[in-house]
Amino acid sequence: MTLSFGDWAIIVVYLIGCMGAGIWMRRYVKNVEDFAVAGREMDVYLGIASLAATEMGLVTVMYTAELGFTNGPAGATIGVLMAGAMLLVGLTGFVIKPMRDAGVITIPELFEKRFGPRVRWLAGLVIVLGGVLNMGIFLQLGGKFLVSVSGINAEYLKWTMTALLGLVLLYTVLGGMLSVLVTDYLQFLILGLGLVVTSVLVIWSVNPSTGAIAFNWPNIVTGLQQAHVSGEAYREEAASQAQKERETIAAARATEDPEAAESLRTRLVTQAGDELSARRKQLAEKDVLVVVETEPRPGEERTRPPYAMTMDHPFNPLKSRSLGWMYIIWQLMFQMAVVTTWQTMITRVLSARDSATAKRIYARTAFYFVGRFALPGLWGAAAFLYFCSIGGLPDGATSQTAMPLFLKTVLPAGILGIVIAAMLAAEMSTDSGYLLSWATVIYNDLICPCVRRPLSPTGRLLLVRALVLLIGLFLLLWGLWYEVPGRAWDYLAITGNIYLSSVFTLLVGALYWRKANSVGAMAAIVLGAAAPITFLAYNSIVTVPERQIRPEIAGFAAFALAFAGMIVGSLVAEMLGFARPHSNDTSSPTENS
Amino acid sequence: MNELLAWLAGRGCVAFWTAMIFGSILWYALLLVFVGWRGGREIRQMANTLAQDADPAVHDARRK
Repeated sequence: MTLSFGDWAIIVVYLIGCMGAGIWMRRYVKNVEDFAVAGREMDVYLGIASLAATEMGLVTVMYTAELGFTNGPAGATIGVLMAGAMLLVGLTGFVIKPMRDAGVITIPELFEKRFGPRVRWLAGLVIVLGGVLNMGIFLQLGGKFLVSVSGINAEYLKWTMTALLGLVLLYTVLGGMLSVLVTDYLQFLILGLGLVVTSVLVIWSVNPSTGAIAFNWPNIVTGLQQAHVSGEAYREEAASQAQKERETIAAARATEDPEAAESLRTRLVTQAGDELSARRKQLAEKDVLVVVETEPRPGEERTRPPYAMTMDHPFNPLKSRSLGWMYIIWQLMFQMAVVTTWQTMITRVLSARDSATAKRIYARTAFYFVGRFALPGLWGAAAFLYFCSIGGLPDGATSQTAMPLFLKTVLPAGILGIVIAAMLAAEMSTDSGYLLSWATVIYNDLICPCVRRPLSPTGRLLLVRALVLLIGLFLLLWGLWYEVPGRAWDYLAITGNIYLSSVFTLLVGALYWRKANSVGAMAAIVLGAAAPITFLAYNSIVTVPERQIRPEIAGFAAFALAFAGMIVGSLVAEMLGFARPHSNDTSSPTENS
Repeated sequence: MNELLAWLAGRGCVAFWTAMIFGSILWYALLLVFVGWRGGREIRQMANTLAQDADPAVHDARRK
């Protein structure tokens, strides 16, 4: 255990403060509107705190640090694109202005006004599937951070995360969005403090013996550039070695029986892994890190053989192997869809006092999203250099856990407590915001349209609270206690893609195209789903990485097909007279709003 | 010309990410103070409004 008494005190005070504030807001909840959208009383600065805290989860910190570990600062390109999309939407009011003016509490409710109840129900289902399944990875990744940085015994991980989710459920079930807003505010403060202090300590290091402060940024820049050059040289050497191995295996396959050839392949792979493991210190001096996994990955039976990691181009995303032009253009479109359709972000728009407040919240939060990627990315990049300097990664450390292990080493006692409290804040604010958003969609768009006799106000409130609790229980089982098979993670990516492509198309059609109708909307949902599923099936059949479809191509196709479905479906339906009469006025109330 | 473009691209990218990282630290520190102050005030206002809303007479008047 590496935490001091002071660290524990900080964490306990934070948790008690947060719970107290969350439960205190319960007294103001009188109906579903108070519970789901805080009675639409949210102003600009509370909105900024809530939006920033909800979208900066522990899972975000983990994957953005991993991007920094593999791509250096260039890994934060996605953050810059997201900030650009936020600013554009905040300045123009694209999608968010008409949506807030419509007075709905969820996105699918808006679809009923233009496309009818069936489209609303189907879109609600897509949103819930995409949202809830994607949330499944939060607890596991968050737990990895806590175990690595705090030194908690891994066997207590599940109980720790269960207790944390229990606390979140308690205040979310009682106070809904009102509790979420107040706790988000506190979490924003502690999270911001942790991010600033950690980043400053990574850039300006203190020599413990002399107390001298050193400015490390020039060393980080030079170190990353050198690591990239050394890494590229290693990759060329490794590629020629791999080519020789492939030729040997191909020759064996041509001359020997398949079993003998497979045995040779297994032997060569194991031999290459053992060689890498033996050379790990020597390679670390050349800025190449060897990962030695000690446990099989989810869904896999055996532990993977050791493999080498090099630094991609750390500053120019256009020269990066994993990024490049196509990826950047795709991400620009993807982030535009995220900021206008992701229900947890839109919940903040719908909770705002009015559309002008919502626009201001977006515009002023935009630059926060650069730091959301750049600051944990900086920690990841510094972790890469740190492990190169000490002779490589320890056994079991991967690109995901390198950053928390690095922080545990470099952060002094007291500061570590602030960072852990900050990361708990990140996890709790994201979990509460997400639980509430998906529960509201299930209540408002999947259950209410099917209920013939309207429920009493107390019954409605009870139902939404029960849904929050049920989603929390589902997350515990799906994301923490049940071992999700490896392929299941592919389905999470697919459901996310279906959500964004179809819902973005429906929103743009509903708000900006007079000819959009229910047939086009249905076609957009079906085609938006067809593309990601087809690509998943294709990539599971074609196992050679070079022949597989890249994610940006799959993503472009999903959006293109969804838009094609909307346009062609709407026009054909209009020509054939199938389109149901609809209202272009999205500001009129729905039956249950 | 190509060398100049490559040099500019290399230096420009480092300068860009330096600005993004240091700008983010500064922006987060500013938001911490500013949102901390203004956000706290907004919570008090929101709580007052919601407490007044609990009074049926005030609630009806506000809705009108």
